[in-house]
Amino acid sequence: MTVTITGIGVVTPLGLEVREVAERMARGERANRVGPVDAAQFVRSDRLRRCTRITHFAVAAAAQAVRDAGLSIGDESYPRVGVISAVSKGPIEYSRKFHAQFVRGGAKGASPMLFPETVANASASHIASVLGLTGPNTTLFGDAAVGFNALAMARDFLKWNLADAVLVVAPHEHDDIFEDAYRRFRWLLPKIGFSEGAAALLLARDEATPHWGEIVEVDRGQPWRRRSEIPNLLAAAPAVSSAARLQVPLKTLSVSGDEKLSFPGAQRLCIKDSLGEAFAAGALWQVVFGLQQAQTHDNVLVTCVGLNEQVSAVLVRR
Amino acid sequence: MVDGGGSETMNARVVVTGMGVVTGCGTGQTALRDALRTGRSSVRPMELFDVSTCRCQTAAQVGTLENSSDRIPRKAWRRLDRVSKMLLTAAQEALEEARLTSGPIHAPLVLGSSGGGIRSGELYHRALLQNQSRRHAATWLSDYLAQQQPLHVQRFFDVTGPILTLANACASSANAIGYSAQLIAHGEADCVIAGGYDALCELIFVGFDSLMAATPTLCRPFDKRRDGMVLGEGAAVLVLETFERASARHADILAEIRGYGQSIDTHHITQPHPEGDGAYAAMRLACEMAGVEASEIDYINAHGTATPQNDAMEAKAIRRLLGVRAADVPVSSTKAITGHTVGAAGAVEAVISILALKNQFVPPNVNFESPDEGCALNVPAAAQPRSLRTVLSNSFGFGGLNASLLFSLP
Repeated sequence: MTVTITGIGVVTPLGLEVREVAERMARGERANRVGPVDAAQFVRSDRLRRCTRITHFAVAAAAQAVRDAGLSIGDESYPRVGVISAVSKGPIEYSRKFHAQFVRGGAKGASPMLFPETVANASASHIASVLGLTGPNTTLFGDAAVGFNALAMARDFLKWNLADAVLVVAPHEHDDIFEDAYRRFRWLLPKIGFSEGAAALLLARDEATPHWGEIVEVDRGQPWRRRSEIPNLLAAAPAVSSAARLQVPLKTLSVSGDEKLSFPGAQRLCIKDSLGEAFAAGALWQVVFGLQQAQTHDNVLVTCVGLNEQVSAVLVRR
Repeated sequence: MVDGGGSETMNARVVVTGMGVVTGCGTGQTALRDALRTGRSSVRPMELFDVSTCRCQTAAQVGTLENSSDRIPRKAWRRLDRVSKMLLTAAQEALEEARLTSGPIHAPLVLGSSGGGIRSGELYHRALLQNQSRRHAATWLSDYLAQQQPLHVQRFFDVTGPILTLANACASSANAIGYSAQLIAHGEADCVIAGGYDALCELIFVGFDSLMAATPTLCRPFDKRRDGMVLGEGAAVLVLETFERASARHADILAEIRGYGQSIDTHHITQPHPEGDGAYAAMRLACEMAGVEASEIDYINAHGTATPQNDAMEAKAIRRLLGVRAADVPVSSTKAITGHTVGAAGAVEAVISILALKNQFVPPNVNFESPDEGCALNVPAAAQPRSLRTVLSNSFGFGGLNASLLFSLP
């Protein structure tokens, strides 16, 4: 079975259109904050009235991916569309607000309007509701590489005939406390800015018309304990091994950082220089912009080294 | 509404060979089984943090946990957060029962949690808000990362496969077990360590309280006077394997996972579909996957939160599934005993369902005194000895998520 990428959507600090963002990155532009994004611009629903920034990002990216795939809401050609949301931090802003209300004013000061939006799967639930997607719905937590876990799970759902298409969404919202903590403990390189946004990929089985390409191989992720293990784990990752065996040399290598991989002739792309660190969202941006940069029939290897949990890779063909 | 995603039969037999559990009832299967048999509730006044401004003042809290594993150094144990201790204790019991304690375990670790290490995040946030010492900030922040608790399991028990943490609110760990069973059934793994964990924390406690979903009185699932849930905490871990692998290594087979169904109501972020369409779909899909008729179900461990909306819709869905047998098949919620353990509930109740099968009894729905016409089911207030062969367990969560697991004796 071939899994195809039929639609993509992004929300990035450099814009919401893939081509425009790619051009701005090529010009050397850099940004870390997303301006106001109102998901109602893409899809109208009362469900979005009180939702968080992370949900606005997720719904905006998801709606673009659905539109990009040429689907309309409730499209009967895809009766069962699943949603898998991959998050690294979840809705921190509302969680902090709600917790602060309780700490400062006791239970009576805590707004019941905020609490439901603090739940990690709120974004996936809103996407299903506003886009009418009634297939399997799941939210995964993890470090940056969780976006690839979500792609692997989507492949499972398609392969096992649990869904006709699966929308994989990875949203992330910035939080000052987290940035402060990460800086203080040197969990990230100083030159990398903390970013936010979302990416969405709509995957379908081979009978669908491929729009962006196909997923050749996607790993479930391998845990690492010491940084010294990372090169070997990465080299042994099925997607990386597949890339090494390609008859046509790899043209694009989209990396999350300083992965030591040698693919002579492959153009190395690291979007973090332009778009910063957006954790799970960033990993799916790597896939999107790797594909955007590739020519037809080119293979793109995308690798991700998560902060403290796993290394993973995905091989896609434009 | 919804279907959730097609049903399929299991391509291979998936069996449970080890279980571990920690709840307010105590540590281990025996403590839980005894509490279920006697109907002893673990709900007590809240001691973990100040809830004096809340409507609800009680919770089923886990007591102090001692390190029972020689794989975890004493110093490391002392530094662990509460929820990690719960998860590790449950994992230790499950791996021991499955006899997987020596050498690396090559298996995916698929866990469900709603809050993960959120309590550690709260401690950090509170220290910031109140200008308190942040001496423990590094530990709090690293424990707050959702993947930290599964990482501890990997590290201490030498589990070498990928980690997957599902955060599907109160359906999290039922989904984790269901997905794990599918991984095995479809030949993607021959062994998976699955389960769930959640510790009590201010955000979730106050959150349910603010929604008036937590009881200021007693947790009374399916009772006419029910007025809300009581929260709990805990962890449960199950070792799942192919029947062939378990047989080949002469492992004790505790139960078989026959079916799994999931669905989503697109009705409301916190409220279930009033007709229980999503709940019904999940149960029906689990039966279809198992190739089991609803008439073959001997007991249903209900989600049964004791909120007016949940129990009414779940009762409707169960009656729709069971038809005329609804008056006979026992249905109980064990949340008045264990508290609602949120993301761990699906795994805790999977253990309860298997304990019921193994010990041939129906766990009680304690505090059930006044039947509600809107929840016309066979609800036993006390434990009952009964011949059980097939048991269904329900878990529903915020966001409209529904999951059902179907277990049978091997």
